[in-house]
Order: sequence, then structure tokens, then C-alpha cells
Amino acid sequence: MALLEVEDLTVNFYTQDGTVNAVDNLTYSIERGEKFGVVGESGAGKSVTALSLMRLIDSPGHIESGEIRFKGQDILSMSEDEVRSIRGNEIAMIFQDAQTALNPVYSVGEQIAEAMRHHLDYSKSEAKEETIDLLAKVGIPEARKRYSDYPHEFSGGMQQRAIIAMALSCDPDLLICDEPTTALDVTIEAKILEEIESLAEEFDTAIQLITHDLGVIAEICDRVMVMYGGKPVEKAPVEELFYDPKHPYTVGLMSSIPRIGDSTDRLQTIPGKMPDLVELPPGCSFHPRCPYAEEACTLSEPELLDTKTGKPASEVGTNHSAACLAYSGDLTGELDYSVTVNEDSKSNAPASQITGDNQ
Amino acid sequence: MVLDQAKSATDVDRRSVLKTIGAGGGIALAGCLNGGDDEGGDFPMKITLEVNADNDDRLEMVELIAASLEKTDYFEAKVKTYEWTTYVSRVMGSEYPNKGVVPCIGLAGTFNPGSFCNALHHTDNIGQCCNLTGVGNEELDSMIEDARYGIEVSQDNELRGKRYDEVWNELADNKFSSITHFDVQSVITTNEVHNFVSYPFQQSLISHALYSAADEQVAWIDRDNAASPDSRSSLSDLKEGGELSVGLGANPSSFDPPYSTDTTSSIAQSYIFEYLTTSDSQGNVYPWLAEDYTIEDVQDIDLMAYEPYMTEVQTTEEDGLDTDAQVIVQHPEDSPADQDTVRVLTPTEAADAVADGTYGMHFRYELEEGVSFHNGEEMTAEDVIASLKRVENSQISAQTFDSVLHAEAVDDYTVDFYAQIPDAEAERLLTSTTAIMPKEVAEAGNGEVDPRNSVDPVGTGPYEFGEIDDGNYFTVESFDSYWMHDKGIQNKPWFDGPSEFPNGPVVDTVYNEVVQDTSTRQGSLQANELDVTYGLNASTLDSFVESEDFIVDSVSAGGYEYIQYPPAVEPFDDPRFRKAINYLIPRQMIVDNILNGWGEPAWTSLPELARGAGTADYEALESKVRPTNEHKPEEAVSLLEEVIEDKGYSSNV
Amino acid sequence: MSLRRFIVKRLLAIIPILFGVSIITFGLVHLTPGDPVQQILALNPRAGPTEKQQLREQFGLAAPIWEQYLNWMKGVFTGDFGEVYRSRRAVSEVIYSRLPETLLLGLFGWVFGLVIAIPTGIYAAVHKDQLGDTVSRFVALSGISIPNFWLGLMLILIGSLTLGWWPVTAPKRAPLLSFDMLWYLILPGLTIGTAAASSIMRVMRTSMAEEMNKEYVTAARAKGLPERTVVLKHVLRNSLISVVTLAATLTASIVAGSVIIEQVFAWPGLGQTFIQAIRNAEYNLIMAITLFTGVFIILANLVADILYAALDPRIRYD
Repeated sequence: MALLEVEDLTVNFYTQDGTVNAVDNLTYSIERGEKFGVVGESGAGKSVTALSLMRLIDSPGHIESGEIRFKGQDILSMSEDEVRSIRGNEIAMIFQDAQTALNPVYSVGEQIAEAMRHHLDYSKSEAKEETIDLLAKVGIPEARKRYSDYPHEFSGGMQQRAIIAMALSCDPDLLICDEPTTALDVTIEAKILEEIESLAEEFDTAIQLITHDLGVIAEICDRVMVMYGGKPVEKAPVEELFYDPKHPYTVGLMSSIPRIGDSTDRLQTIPGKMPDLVELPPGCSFHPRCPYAEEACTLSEPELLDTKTGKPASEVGTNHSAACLAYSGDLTGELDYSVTVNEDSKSNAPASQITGDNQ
Repeated sequence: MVLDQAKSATDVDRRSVLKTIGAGGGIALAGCLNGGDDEGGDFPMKITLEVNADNDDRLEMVELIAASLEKTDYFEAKVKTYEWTTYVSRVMGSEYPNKGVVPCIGLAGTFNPGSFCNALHHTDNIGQCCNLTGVGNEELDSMIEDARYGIEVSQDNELRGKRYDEVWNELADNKFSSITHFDVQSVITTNEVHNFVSYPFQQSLISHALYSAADEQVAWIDRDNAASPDSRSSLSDLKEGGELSVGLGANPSSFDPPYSTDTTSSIAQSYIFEYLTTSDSQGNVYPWLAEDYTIEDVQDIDLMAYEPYMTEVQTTEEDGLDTDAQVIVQHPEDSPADQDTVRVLTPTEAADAVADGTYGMHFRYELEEGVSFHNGEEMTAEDVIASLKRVENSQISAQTFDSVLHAEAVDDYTVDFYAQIPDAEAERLLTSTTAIMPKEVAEAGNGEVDPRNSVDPVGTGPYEFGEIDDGNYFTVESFDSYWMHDKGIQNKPWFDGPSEFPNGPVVDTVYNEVVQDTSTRQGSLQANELDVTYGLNASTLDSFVESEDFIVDSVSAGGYEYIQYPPAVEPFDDPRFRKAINYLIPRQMIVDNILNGWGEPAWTSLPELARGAGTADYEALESKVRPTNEHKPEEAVSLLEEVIEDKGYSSNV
Repeated sequence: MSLRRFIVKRLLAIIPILFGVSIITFGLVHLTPGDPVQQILALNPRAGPTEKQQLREQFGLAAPIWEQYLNWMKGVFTGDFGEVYRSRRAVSEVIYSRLPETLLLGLFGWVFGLVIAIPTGIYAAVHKDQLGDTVSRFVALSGISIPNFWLGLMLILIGSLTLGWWPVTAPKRAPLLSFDMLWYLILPGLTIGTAAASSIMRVMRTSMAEEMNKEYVTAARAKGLPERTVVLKHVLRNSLISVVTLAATLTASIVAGSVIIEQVFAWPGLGQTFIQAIRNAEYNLIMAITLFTGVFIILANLVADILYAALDPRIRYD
């Protein structure tokens, strides 16, 4: 049994403009100690997924249906108290913007210690000592002095480390990282990622890493899920995703990343933009932007299909699945792209290019 | 606004003149009779009524009069309001009579019938209180003076009454002012208080009810047997002792009699101090701290007789007199406004005059012996003289030295008082403003006799000062060595009450609480946290009257309100015009609708309390004068038409 | 800059402010028609120019205005605020004797204001847009709209006359801090407090509602803290900042409100004295009370500033 099993999760937001279908029939799972990436553009539903895991969705949002099984128990049918005892304790979250995630009027040490006091029943002094250790471990120098400093006295990178410390304080089994490095500059980003990785190793914590940055995914993750318009469009182990992307959107994403040594003048983009989640296009949500779209794509919405057999992924346990009619055999044309791997030491990531008629 | 004594409590002078905040009302009629500037003719005439803004009842009354004027179609009436202090400066301005406005104001009259005609009509009072629009003339002045001064009237009450009748008739013919109504002074108690009767003058309301031998009045507390609102309790049921809680409408500003003129201060002082004489509720005068007094001599002189004794003083730029001494008489022909020096009589010269045999009246007072002050000393003549000296240059000096010429001690228990000229009011006025206090207390600094200052008030009264928390409350306690306890009231020759009548008030302590807000005070009484209070609104009085648990007593008082016309401005110069407006004043309606019946329409200028001295035959007076004061719109119109035709005014009516 | 220096700087700033306040008040008070001499003498028949002049000199009103002001200022520096014309008592004595009552009433008003406002504000914010919120906002609106004196009278009517739980007027011979007196102060305290509470409550609610949407709240919840802790520990302290600022400015309205409330409840504080002083054109008393009030309000704002910094560590006095 996997640590986390999300099944058919649907989350809607009821706004004045209409109902936003933020997450639509999402299914995935995370094993113990596994590092799972969730990728997609802004508005794809990644953060909503994360918040739903801890049942932190507030009105106008509403978890419509589905199950979230954590260690076998469905979070969605637990009582408030039970959920609260999981939050911070077994599942913890690292927020995107450390500055706003920290309460400006309390010291950093206090904010870390309070979770420990609450979940682990530590005394004040015990919690304080533990916190100081933790601060040191996440790489904050002069931890003892810094314990009583306030968030605004920390630099951006330090703040993020403090958030990490906060999340790790009760030794959770699952760590949800919501864009943990987006707000940081590149040099720090690398360090932080390193930290996260090593801490996860040390504490044997599973990670759900949410980001829009493929480079981060490449660094850390074991498996990846790509989301588009609130739905998963591809799931694969990380190397397969990069070397052998199966969904046109993923391909598009890959090709839009600039590479060092690239000599093209213009960046590749996926034409068009993410649809308004209130009014999704009929059929496949991606079809207006897909270079390989055909009429069939407007009619039926593809589900995740095993890319080898074309059967629905839910029925067949599979490693690599994509939500594209190309794999069910309904398409007349071919997905016409190629992936080239440059064994150039300067660039480790494989490059992909979309070639073919529909460029 | 008769009844909201809380408002008027702060400043009512103990004698006469301005009622306070709440009392001033002014009707200003802007005579717009210069024809020309508007399309219409002189009539309908624009009229402006002026009144002070903070007195609700008075404002309503003025508005009612304005409405009544408009109803005739001859007037366009407007009401202008002013804040009290602004109003006072305005109406006393020297230019005021020329504005063509009619001020409405309230005064508190006394037993002296002159207080209902002198202040308003004597030309001496122009530009001060209270001849505001410059009415009157020399002839009227003489009539008013002759009713009070002079050998004959000082000895013959009936003659005096006749002379006043002449004044009332003259005023009725001329209608310089219109008195609208007389006040009623009411007091409310719980039914645990027995026989707490009201008194025309709020200043001594409480002390009078507690004990007044002249009226055979005594009140007591009986918390076990309820008093009945419908009948007096019998003297045989009298119970001694107890603490009475009184609700005051304001904080007493001073316990020093010559240095305060507001009602609440007077109430406080009346527990503690007494006078050589006392009076009953009809105004008859009796010896009190004096065992007896006699009029030794009356001489037929006038103020000119003092000329040889007068000294000269400089005048100041503001037309005042540059002297520290009390000015007793100013030479009648001298005017500070026009001269650099003026001849006056000060106490030194007054003493000389008297030594020389020049005086108007000579009263001799034999003092009671064995009267103890609260400090244990015995009252003697030198205390009386010192007390009078304290009145010099105080806030009540002007009233006092209006009649008093001089006083001196003959021996330890005999004092002589001299009046300036033969004066029918001298019997009352010579001694009634001088509170008797021990010499050392009388010699304290100005305004110092106050527990909140350096000198505690010490008098001869049945209560001595207890304690005070300023702004909060003060108490007075029964004085054990009160002189009447020893003397016995039965030994006062004029007293003919029952033998059980006590020798002083029977209530032990009076606790006086300051509750300025009338609603709160009313609530406090309702909740029985107070035993007695006064100065509530007319509407609440009615509800107390109806209740079995409370007793309301009211008497006709001396306060009154009047409007006054500016004869210097046309068409107010014509008495028919003034009479016409007077016919349009709905006096009965004012009392019924605005005062809820708590008042007396002024059918004559004389309220009940002054009828003893003020007329030879009240019924005859009323039958003659009342018809001129009734509400008669048709008469008014016909008079207006007469004036219009006679004087040639243009009219669109 | 350290706290001490900050306070000293602010206290020094009081002086020019008070200076300005005193000049304005002095000017206004002397400009309004009517003066104390006239007030006293208006009641005196035939009190002529002589008496007026004498009194004027006695009261120090004969000198030109600027000189009067200077004399007054001189006195202030030595603690002598002049005397009350009518009673010749020292103004400072009058004020000091009533100061404890005034402060106590103000304090009660304050306490009630906060005690009502803060829980209600929190409640309304937590139940935002639900019934509880609507009811609270309605109550707050009424609190601001209902005239003080009416509310006071109503409380007397209900509390004293109908229920009999409170006396109508204060138990005057009880010491100020006795139980009876403090019990009595509940009604006037409530009256004053309600008006202030309404404004505070609205700000509390808005402030909290804003804070509740912030990330750190989600983060706190994500830590699994109970909702009560999230609201009362994390959100509240952040929300209090704007509340404290408002509460300090409300000192002025509490002072103004107590003037009327003292009348209604016959509470012997400076409010009543002030009204009487204005009626009687008692210049010295008016000036002194105005000055004291000014100092008081400034101090209240200073306290607010200090609290502000105590609440929010991001604020330091630079």
C-alpha cells in the first residue's frame, strides 16, 4: 500500500463568475520515501492539489469527490481533530513564499517550536532545544541566537530554511513542497534543493514537489506528474519523462526551456494559453493549442492511457501514462516530434524539438 | 420654563432680577415700518421675536405668541434665538431700545410689589436689569417711587396699596410690557416625609419647610407611616430625628452669603444662617434674632438732604467710580458719565450724617440674648455690625445699600439701623440681606467663607455645617445648642401656634446631593434614593401627582416672564398698538398647553404673594385690569385698524 | 533608537502642541460673547460700571489679552492655574479633587469598550458573512448611532428603576474604590464603552478578516494547530495593531462622551465641572481642563505608539 493514494479527486471553486473546476478526477500515488514531482503552468491546479491533501481548502473551494488515502485512511472522511493531528505531524507543507508564511510578530524559533509542543508534547525547553538543533541542521548559523529573531531579520534564503525546519520539526512522513524555490534567486535555490534532498534522505520523508520549473524536477524527483487544466496529462518516472515524453503538452514544455549553447533566436513557446478553468474547451483541454489536434480531440476527453498498450492507466498498473488519444488509436495522424540528447557536458538535460508538419 | 428649576437654579438672585439660564426670553419685533423697501405696505408688518435658546418652555411660549400674531394676518412674525450669555449682553446694550425688538425675559419678584413694576419700568433701569427697551417716563417713575418711599406710605399700608393701584392702572393703560404668567414653585417628596410644604422662594424652600415658626410649619420623617398626598399629617404624629436626602439641581457655588447669588448657594446657606427678622409666606415681617424692634423715628427727607455730607470721588473711563469704599448714596444730580468727579456718601459720611440727625428712618433692634453661634460664641451687636460690614462691596451690596444708610451698635444687645429715606419696604429690606455671622468669620476675605476655602461657615441657624464632597454632596447636622431650643418658640410674643409646636426643626441631618440632570434626579426620587427634590419638568410633576407614593406641593411664586415693547420705534410709540399686541397673547393657553397647568396666567401684574402690600383691593383691581389682558383677537384687530388709519400707515390686509 | 529616547522625544513634543492648544482655547474663550464679570453682575440690580471695573481687576481681566495670556502661562509653569471666579477656589484644587473620579470613569469606559469590542470583533471575523457576523455588525452600527445620553438614561431606566439592580445615582458617601462604587460605575462605563466599542469592533473585525486571508494563517493551520490557537495567537496579535491605533484616538471621544455621561449619571467628575465652567464663563477653569484633557489625549496616543511597537517587532522607532 502506498503512503499516499489519491483517487478521483475533484475540487471545485464556486465563484461569482462561475464554477471553477480546479482539479478534475485526479489520481496518483506516492510511495514511502519517494520524491514525486507535480509540474504544470500556473493555474493548473497544483497548489490546490497540495492543499486538498491536508484538507486546507476553504470556501469558495470545495472538495467534491474522491478519496485521499494516507497510510490507508481516507483523509476526506476523517474528523477535524484527526485531520489536525496529521497536519504538521505526518504531513507537512513547505510554502512558496517564506516571508508571508511566517508570522511576523512571533520569533522564528517559536513558530517552529509550537508545532513540536503541540504534536509531540514537548515542554517549552525541550522544544526550544530541539528547534535550535533543527535550525542548525537546516543550515542556519548561530542557531541559538537566531532562535529568538523575527522573520524580518532573516534573509530570504534563511527564511526558506526556517520554513523547511518548521515542516520537518515533527518528522513527517510526507513533505509537500509548494514551489519551494520559486521566490529565491538561483544560487540559493540550488542550496535549498540540496538541503531538501538531503534532509529527506536523512529523515526518510516522502516529498511531493510542486513546481513549474522542470529543472528542479530533474534534480530531485523520482517520478513526475504533469498537470494541465486541472487534470493530469502525463505520469512517468523522471528520466522517461525527459527522454521520452509522451504527451504533446509535456513535449511543448520541454522544448520551451532555453538550453545553454542553444543558438536559436527565439524561445519556443506553446502557442495560446491555459484555458479559463471555468470554461474548459470540449474534449481534450489541450486541443486548442496542440499542434497534432484532430477532430476526434474535440469530441472526447482522453483519460490517462498506458502509452504502450493504450489501455486506461487505472485498469493496468503502468509506469508511464499520458492522456492523449494518440495512444488509444483514435488519432489518424502521428505525434510527430523527436527528442535528441546532447551528450554535451554543459547541458545535462535532453533537448526535445518539435519537428514535423504541424510546426 | 418655570419649572425646570435646575436650569434656573444656577443663577437666580435671591431678590429679584434676572432669572437665569432658562429664564431669558426675548421677543424682538423688528419694526419695518419705513414703508418703502418691500412691495407691500407697512402691514402686514414684519415682527421679530427674540428669546434665549436654552429655555424650551420659553421658546415654545414665544413661538405660540408669534403664531397668534400671524393668525391675524397683520403680522409676519419671526422668532430669533440667542445663546444665554450672548442674549444678556445684547439686551442690556445701550442701543437695544432702538432696534425695535421686544425682549422677553424672566425675573424673580419678591414680596415687594415694586419688584413687579420697578425693574421693568423705572427709567433708572434702562440699559441694565431690566428695563430693556427704554420704556417709562418721569411721571411713571414718580408714581412707582411714591408707592414705596415717603413718610405716608411707610406708615399707612392702605395708602400704599392705593398708590400701587394707580401704578397698575397706569401700566394697564400704557401697556409698556406684557407679563405673561407667574411661576409656581413646587416640591416633591416621598410619602415618608410629612408636611413638606412649598414656599414661593426656592432659595429658602428647604429650610422653610423644615421649620418656619411664622408659618407654623414643620416637616418630619416617618419611614413607618406613610403621609397622604391629600391631607396634612397631624402635629401630634410628629416624629423627631432621621436623615433627609435632598436632591439639588446644581452645585452650590459658595457658602458665603454676600458672595453668592445663585439659588442653590442660598439653599445651602439657609440651613446655617439666620437674620434679625423673618417673614411668613404672606410677606409679614417678624422679629427673629431680634427679640423685638421698633421704629424709633421717621423723617420726611429725600436724598438731597445728604448733600452736605457727601464727599467727592473721581470717575473712571468706564463711567465707574474710583473708590474702594461702599457707595451708599450717589448725588441724584450727578452723573458719572458726564463728570470727572461725583458726590457720594460712603459709610464714613453716612455715619456722620446719622450722628448729625440726618436719616430717613431709624429702627432699633433689641437682640435676643444667649444666642450661640456654631462655634460656641454668643451673638452680640458687634457681630451684627460686622456682618453688615461684610456686605459692603460684595455681590449683594447694591441691593442692600439701596435702602440701608448706616447701622451701629448701641450696646451689646441693641443695634440701630437707619434707612436712607422713608421707605415702606425698609422693615423688610433693612435686615433681610444680612446673614448674621461671628465677627471673625465676617472679617474673612472675599468669598472665603466656604468649607472648600479656608473658613467654615458659622451662623446661628438650627443646622451647622457637616461635611462636603465638592460637586457631590454636602451635609448639615442639627446644632445641639440652637438658641430656640432654650428660648422656646412659645416665648416669641407674635407666635400663636399650638403648644406642641417644636422649638426648631426635628430632622437630625440633611444630606444634600447634587444631581444636575433633571431626568436623573427624577429617577433618583422615584427609586427612593432621594426624599425631596424640586425643579422637575411639568410632565413629570403630573405623574408624581397621580402617584400615591409621592406628594407634590406647590404654591404661587414670585417668578414671572414678560415681553417688553420698544416705544422709541414706530408704531410701538402708540399705546393702542401695544395694547393690540397684548390682546393677542393667549395667556391661558400658555399656562395650559406649555406649562401643563403649572403656572398662573398674569391677569394683573400682581401675583398672589405680593397682594398684601401691592393693592388696596385685589378684586377690584382684577375686575378692572383683567379684561385688558385677555385673549381678544377682534379687539386687537380693531385697535390695529384704528392705529393704521390714524397714523396713515399703508396696509394690504 | 531605543524606547527611552523615543518616549522622551515624544514627551518633549507635547510642549509645542499644548502651547498651540492653549493659545487657541484662550482666544476662543475670550472671543465668545459674555464674560465672567457680566455673568456674575447680570444678576445684580444696579451693579454699575464701578462694580464691573472692580471685579474685572480682581479677576485679572482688565489687562490686554496678550498680557492676560502671559500671566496665565506664567502661572501654569508654577502649577498655579488661577482661581475660579465665583468661589475663589484654586483651579488646581478643583481639578485635583475631581480627577480621580474622572479617571476612574474613563477607565471603566475604556475597559468596557475593549471587553465588548475585542471578543465581538473576533467573533464577527471568524464567522464572517454568516449570521453571527451580521448580528455583530448590526449591534456595532447601533452602538455608534445611538446617542450616548439616551443609552445612559435607558440603562438607568432598566437597570435601576425596573430591575433595581443599581442605584440611580452613585452611592455618594462610599469611598471611590469600594465595591459599591465600582458596581455603580458599570452602567456609566457601559454607556461610554458601547459607543467606543462599536468603532473598535468594526476595525477589529475588518483587521482580523484581512489577516485571516494571509499565508501565515494557512501555514499555521498546516502545522495542525487548533483553530483557536490560530485565531487567538497568530491572527489576533497581527490584527491588534490597527485596533490599538484606533483605540488611542478614541480617547478623545471617550473624554467628550464622559462629559455628557457625567451629567446623566450625576457623576462628580471634571465633565460636569467643565459644563458649569462654560456656562459661567470661568476662563481659568476652562483653560485648565482643556489643557489637562489635551495632555491626557496626547499621552494616550503615546501609549498607543509604544504598544504598537510592543505588538509588532517590525516596528522600531526610527
